[in-house]
Amino acid sequence: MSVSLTPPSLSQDLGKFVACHDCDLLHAKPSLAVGTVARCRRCGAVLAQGRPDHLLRSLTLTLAALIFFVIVNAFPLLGLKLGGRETSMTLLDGALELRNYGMWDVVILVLLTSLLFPLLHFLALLYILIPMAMGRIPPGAAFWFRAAGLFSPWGMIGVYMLGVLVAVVKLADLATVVPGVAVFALGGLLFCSTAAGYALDPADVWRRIGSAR
Amino acid sequence: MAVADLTAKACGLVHCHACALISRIQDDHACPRCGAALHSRKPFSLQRTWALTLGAAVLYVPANVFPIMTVVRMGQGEPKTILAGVASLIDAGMWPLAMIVFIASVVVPIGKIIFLIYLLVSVQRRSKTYLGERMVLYRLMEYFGHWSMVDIFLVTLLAALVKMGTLATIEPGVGVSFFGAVVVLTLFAARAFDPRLIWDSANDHR
Repeated sequence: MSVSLTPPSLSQDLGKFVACHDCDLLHAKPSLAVGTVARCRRCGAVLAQGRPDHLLRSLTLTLAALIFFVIVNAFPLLGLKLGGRETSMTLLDGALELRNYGMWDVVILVLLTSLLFPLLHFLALLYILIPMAMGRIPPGAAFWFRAAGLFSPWGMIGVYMLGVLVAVVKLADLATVVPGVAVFALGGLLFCSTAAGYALDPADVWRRIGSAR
Repeated sequence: MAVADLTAKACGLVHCHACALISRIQDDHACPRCGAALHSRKPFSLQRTWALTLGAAVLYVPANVFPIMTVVRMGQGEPKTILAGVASLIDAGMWPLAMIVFIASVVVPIGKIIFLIYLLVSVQRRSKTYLGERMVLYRLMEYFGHWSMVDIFLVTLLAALVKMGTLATIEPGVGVSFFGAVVVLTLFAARAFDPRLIWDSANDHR
């Protein structure tokens, strides 16, 4: 389909246009059926997507992710049995361990990416999604939704999960590794947070925030 | 310029990087909807990307020269670098693990540095070829960049878990700090690069 698009004049409503995030090409704003995606005709980036019931779905999944997050942090992640001795560790122990070696840069990096940024991301989303699902816009919504977007690429739960799996397999020939409750909760957390990301339609959230101003 | 190739910038418009609202370009203004600072293109994108990429390339040397961890068993152990760690995984017959660590710690960071330099050079030469392919490269970097963190997480997990005195202990090495810096710098470098610059030269019909 060829889209005829004339440059917007001063009098035209800019809300009728979208620009591609990746290549800046201007498009007429697509109106999408649920479950369809509009892509940039030049570079293929996603311009907009129609997502069904997105507020409730992403809210539910984010709440579930937060519950899993609490479990992940409250229970042991991995245990080790060797020569009659046993140790176990939590996710926080893992993040803080390297302070014993004075490697504070790594401590901060791991603390931020495995714990703080994911948590802040969930909390910022919930702060917006809970009132929005009930038809209200919380104060500072624009700030917190922007913050959620900034935190999300620095939360690395999926990578952390891979690190845990690699550690379990690697240690298998050294000692007996006992996966803790937190490993399974970490799987749940990863699933829910990924699914919440796919369920959410940020364009609609921004439209609601914008119309409340 | 064909009408179909109009960019927001060519129309005097700017796309908000945070909330995607379109507004008219004015000097130094913030998005009327979300308050983010508006820039038609990321400011000093090429300079910042070059600096961060070269910084990552330089730090990748000590990250590989210094050991990232020492496995002490029965009171004995030798500090190992990233590549020595991969080699010992292969010796132990753990091929899949060796592949994961090798890809995350060697292929991804080196690939990112090479691809970023290629993107920077091609933009600076105002190349009009392989536009779609370069876009794919950029997206691959965005998608896979943070997987290099696996090695950092792995070392912290192993160090926190294996603490059995002379029986078995795993100690982190200073290489982790350098490697962490490489990962952070490449992540910032990929974010500093503005993919719209790839297409700007394509629109340049001089």
